Amino acid sequence: MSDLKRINDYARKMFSTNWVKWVHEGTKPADTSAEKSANVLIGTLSKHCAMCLNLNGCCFVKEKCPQKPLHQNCHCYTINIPAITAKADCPIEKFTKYVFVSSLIDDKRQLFELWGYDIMDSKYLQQEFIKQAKLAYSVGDYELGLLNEYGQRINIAITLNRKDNNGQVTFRSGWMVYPNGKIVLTTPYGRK
Amino acid sequence: MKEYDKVELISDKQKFKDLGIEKGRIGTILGPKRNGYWYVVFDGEIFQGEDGIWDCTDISAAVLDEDVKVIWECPD
Repeated sequence: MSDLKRINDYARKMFSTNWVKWVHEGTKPADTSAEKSANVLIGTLSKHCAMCLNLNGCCFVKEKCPQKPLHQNCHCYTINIPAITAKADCPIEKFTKYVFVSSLIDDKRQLFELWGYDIMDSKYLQQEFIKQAKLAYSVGDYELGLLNEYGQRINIAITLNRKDNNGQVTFRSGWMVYPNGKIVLTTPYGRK
Repeated sequence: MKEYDKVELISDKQKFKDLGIEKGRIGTILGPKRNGYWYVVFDGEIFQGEDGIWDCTDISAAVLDEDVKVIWECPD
């Protein structure tokens, strides 16, 4: 797909995407990993469901939202919102300490090196992942992944230009959804 | 044990078998310790799907210290 066609496609999606925000009334949304963990503990000690607590404030496109109700007597609901301002966090260590680290099994390093990337490209990859994930999430280009007591993961396709030739490669990355349009990279190369 | 260390599963617990992870499988800690559990992504096979998208059979799991042993410590 040409860049112009892709931009037009995103613009069209941006104006036609219907967003909803998950609401678990009366509790504060978990904005950090530590707060999500605290909610898991609260879930074991109170009548609140950790899954619901950790979905509170998270935004999804209407047709790619976790199914309600999540459990019996679930009182969560969603509200329509006009759009989101997507924010994506991508720790550079996911590349410098995971993808490009040699170990007994180093398939991912070999794969990225086959495509022409090495550890020196970590900063570029971090920025590229952030750019593509923000754009994809903001137009609803994601697949729902694992939902558990820590929250909802989504998969986002990342496309990189190969550095060894003129081709491109596409693979899936895994992200955790946080409230108010924020996503954080969990795995830079994940499964369907 | 810390984030980005490589670990080997040494547990026979049924919950791992149910996930499709067998004893001896190698993985990486990809998240901070939360409520006593580490988020580990166990390495699988890498392949290219029919749709052209690169995929893998990695499996993630929440593990306790006692479930794994560190086989490679990530330098700080």
